[in-house]
Amino acid sequence: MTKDVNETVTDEWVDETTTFQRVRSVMRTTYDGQTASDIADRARVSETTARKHLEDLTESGYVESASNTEGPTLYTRSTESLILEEASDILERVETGKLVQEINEMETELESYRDEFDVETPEQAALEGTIIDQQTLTAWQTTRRNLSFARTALALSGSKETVQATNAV
Amino acid sequence: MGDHDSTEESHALRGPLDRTALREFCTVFEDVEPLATGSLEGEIRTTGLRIALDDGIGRASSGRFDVRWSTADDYNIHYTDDLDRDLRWDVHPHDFPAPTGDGHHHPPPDATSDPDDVEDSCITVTTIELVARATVTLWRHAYDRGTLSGTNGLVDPP
Repeated sequence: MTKDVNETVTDEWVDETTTFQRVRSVMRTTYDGQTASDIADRARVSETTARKHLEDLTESGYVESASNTEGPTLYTRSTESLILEEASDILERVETGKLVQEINEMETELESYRDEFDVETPEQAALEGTIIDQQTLTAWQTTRRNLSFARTALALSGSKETVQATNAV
Repeated sequence: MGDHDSTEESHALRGPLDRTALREFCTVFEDVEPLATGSLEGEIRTTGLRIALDDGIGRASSGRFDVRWSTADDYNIHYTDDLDRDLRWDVHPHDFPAPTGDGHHHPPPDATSDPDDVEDSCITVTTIELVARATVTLWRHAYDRGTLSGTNGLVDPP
């Protein structure tokens, strides 16, 4: 390889995508508030371009912005948009019956963590100084997160049916 | 193709695993590499991403990437093949004496965690799209050369 792999893929990415695609791609999983300047760096676009696209993404609900008088506006992926995206993806992959089964299994798994550590949430464990190894912590947090998406998927499925039925009348 | 040894160290990612990130990694990888087919480990209880490669590097006839990516952008990108060869690119806090950053590489043939052998990772880009593309490029480079040695991009013949 005569060219550094990082330079190669960055050049390819810039060549093959639009500035909007890159900003949206970067924001897709940006969960901590970031400035337009930092986002521009990561998306390989100018700050002006980033700001423009971020405004559009905020307008459409993909991104949430938090402006404050003390510093620059911070942009984050909208949590609602993210949850809906995952819930919709889940519905495309599985039938409701399977979904219900998985939800039950995840709730059982979480119950066992709560019993084992005698706290309701991993965050509470940290507050109380209960020691949980990183592997278990990640597993617990991952299941809570996936369960949230799954529960939304189930609710979404039911609501869609109702709304579509009422639309047909 | 054996199951690689999931040591405690390889599970030391901060934060929950990010289903959205894994889906993004999968889409990018499949778009860029025709020989790749990705599938989530757990469509709902998602704990990772598996990317199967239709052909192997060198004498191997197939290969697979197991990817874990957390909401804190820590990751494991583990490669294994039907000759039981393993290697891994990681980003997460560790207590190896070197390298100093979170990015590191466990070299083949067994993705060793021996502190003397763990290397700096050649992947310095950080966004999912770029890391996925870099992984494809590194795999392609090894595939074209027919060898896993030098895959971490640090040993570059002039």
